Amino acid sequence: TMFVNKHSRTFIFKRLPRNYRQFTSSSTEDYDLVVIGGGSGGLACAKAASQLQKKVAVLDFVTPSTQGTTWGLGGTCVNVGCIPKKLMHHASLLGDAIRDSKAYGWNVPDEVQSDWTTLSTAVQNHVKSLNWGHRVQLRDKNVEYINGLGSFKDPHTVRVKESNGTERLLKTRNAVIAVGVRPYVPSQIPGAVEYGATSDDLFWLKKTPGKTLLIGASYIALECGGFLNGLGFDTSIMVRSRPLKQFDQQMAELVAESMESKGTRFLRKCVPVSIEKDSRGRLVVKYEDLTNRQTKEEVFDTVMFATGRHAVTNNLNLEALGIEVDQTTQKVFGGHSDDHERTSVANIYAIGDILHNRPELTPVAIKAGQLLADRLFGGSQVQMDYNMIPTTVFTPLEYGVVGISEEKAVSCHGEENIEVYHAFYTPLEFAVPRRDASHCYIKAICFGDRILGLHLIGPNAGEVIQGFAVALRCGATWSGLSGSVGIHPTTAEEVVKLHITKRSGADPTVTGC
Amino acid sequence: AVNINYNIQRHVATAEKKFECFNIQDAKDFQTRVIESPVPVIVDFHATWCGPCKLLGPRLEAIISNKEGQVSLAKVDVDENVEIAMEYLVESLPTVIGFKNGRKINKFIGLQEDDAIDSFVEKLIH
Repeated sequence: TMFVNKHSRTFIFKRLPRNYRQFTSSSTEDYDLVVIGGGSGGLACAKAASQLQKKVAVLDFVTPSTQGTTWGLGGTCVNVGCIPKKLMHHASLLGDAIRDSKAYGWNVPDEVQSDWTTLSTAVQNHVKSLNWGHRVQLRDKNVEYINGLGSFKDPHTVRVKESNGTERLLKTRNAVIAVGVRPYVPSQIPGAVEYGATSDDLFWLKKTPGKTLLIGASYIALECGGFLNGLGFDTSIMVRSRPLKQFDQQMAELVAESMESKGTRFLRKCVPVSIEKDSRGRLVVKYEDLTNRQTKEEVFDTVMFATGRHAVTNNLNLEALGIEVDQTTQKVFGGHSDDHERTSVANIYAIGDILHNRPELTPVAIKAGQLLADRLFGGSQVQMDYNMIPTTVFTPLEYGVVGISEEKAVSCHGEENIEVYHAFYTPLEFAVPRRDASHCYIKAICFGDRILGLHLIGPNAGEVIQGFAVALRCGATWSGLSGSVGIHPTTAEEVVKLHITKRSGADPTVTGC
Repeated sequence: AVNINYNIQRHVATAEKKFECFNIQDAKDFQTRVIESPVPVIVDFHATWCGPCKLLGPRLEAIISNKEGQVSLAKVDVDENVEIAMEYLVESLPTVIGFKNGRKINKFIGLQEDDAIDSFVEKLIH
């Protein structure tokens, strides 16, 4: 026998039975919170709620991708997103570093090859260690983990279907929908679903990608195309209109150009028509050039669709409960009763990528989840601040940004009221191997002394922008920024050295030391 | 002619170093072969994705094989036996736990040098 009193924080126990779980709710069946989805948002919310002494369960289940790929606990970021992406991005940059090192005196062979199997195995091993780490964390934080597909029976009952077929009903006071989104493959294109891979598959590909076609213009298409090209694969990116439509267009163009200068081929204003397999198992892609309506054909080893990510909510039974979703995206509407994450049903919330009209970013989901747990169980009133969220596109030459695009600034305030300070700069380390720095560029978009947006293309842009994002959140002004002393020699210092305006028409190229 | 003496005695160690080494399949397997084992059992919690585990495995086998059957070696892949790993509070890998008469006696975490492993095994046996 044992006796544990969670409230008084003194433990008197002889032996803890195996499945003992501490709880404070009235019945042994009631959960305080059931989270559907074990990704960045779901896990953060569940752990935060459990820290507040609540009885929490998190459900996670991975429906296999169109090509049959599946993975463990942790969601998109850990398994098929941020983590493997960043590792492969780094792997491709190491190739550049090896080539550059010659100029710095290192004795390296003229040709260096990358081995896909070694890389992908190393990446997958790290991902699996993170899956394990999450399991351990849930146990440590006393969160019950159920590997099963969740759906709503009613607002206070979640049905879980485990992989072995058993079904359970979980009675809960509150629920959080954190199921995220999955790659969308246009099924109307013959062969797309059958032969097309997605980001769900790329990092788990057993065989080497070979000559690859990426279809799409999103950051996913560009990031994956970028590192595949850097690893030595013949890489093409098919873009229907413009790359990175959701971002500042001047920066998007510079990013695309930097990729082209490194050998990535952009098939602009083209759309896929069909995909077939030839007698040797390679993929024959027929596509249309929208500029001249000509149909062309080319053979690839791998075709990856990066044509958007959509919500898969049809199995959640949201309609029956009256949880409103956006008709186009199927994402869940939040914002009810002045709570950013509350759905149209009072005790049900949504966080992360599944939440309509919010940035699809891991740190956003995590923070929203933690703040939600504090509001539900910790007596807090603090809402998630979705403004000035920084992010970075991890193309070979990275693009970091916090704040709005120049187009948005102009449309909000008028061109005559906006001042854009900009500079083309050369990272010091590019000089010796004579690397092309023509796409390294920074701009600060200002409205009076207010900084509306800070954009930077260059190596380690993600690391550079993080600190500036904090400064902006704390109210840093243009005069504060430009009055700051830089650290020399860095690329980050070029931000505080900005002084040439677009309006002046002067050459924004940084010269000298 | 050279007189070569062919009468050479060669001592060859033909006796195989005998020790029980097995992979745990499930909880029931763990119960019978570890908890209910008449001899002490060293349990090696490992995973396919764990680099140090791959180095520790052969070291454990080599050392235990020299103990003339006084101790057995059970291998638990934590991805296949999550519940067992959770029950014994395994966090970092590799984790090695010594069992005797159904109870946890000692434990070490991470790759260790041979002499550390040896004294760990000795401590369990005696």
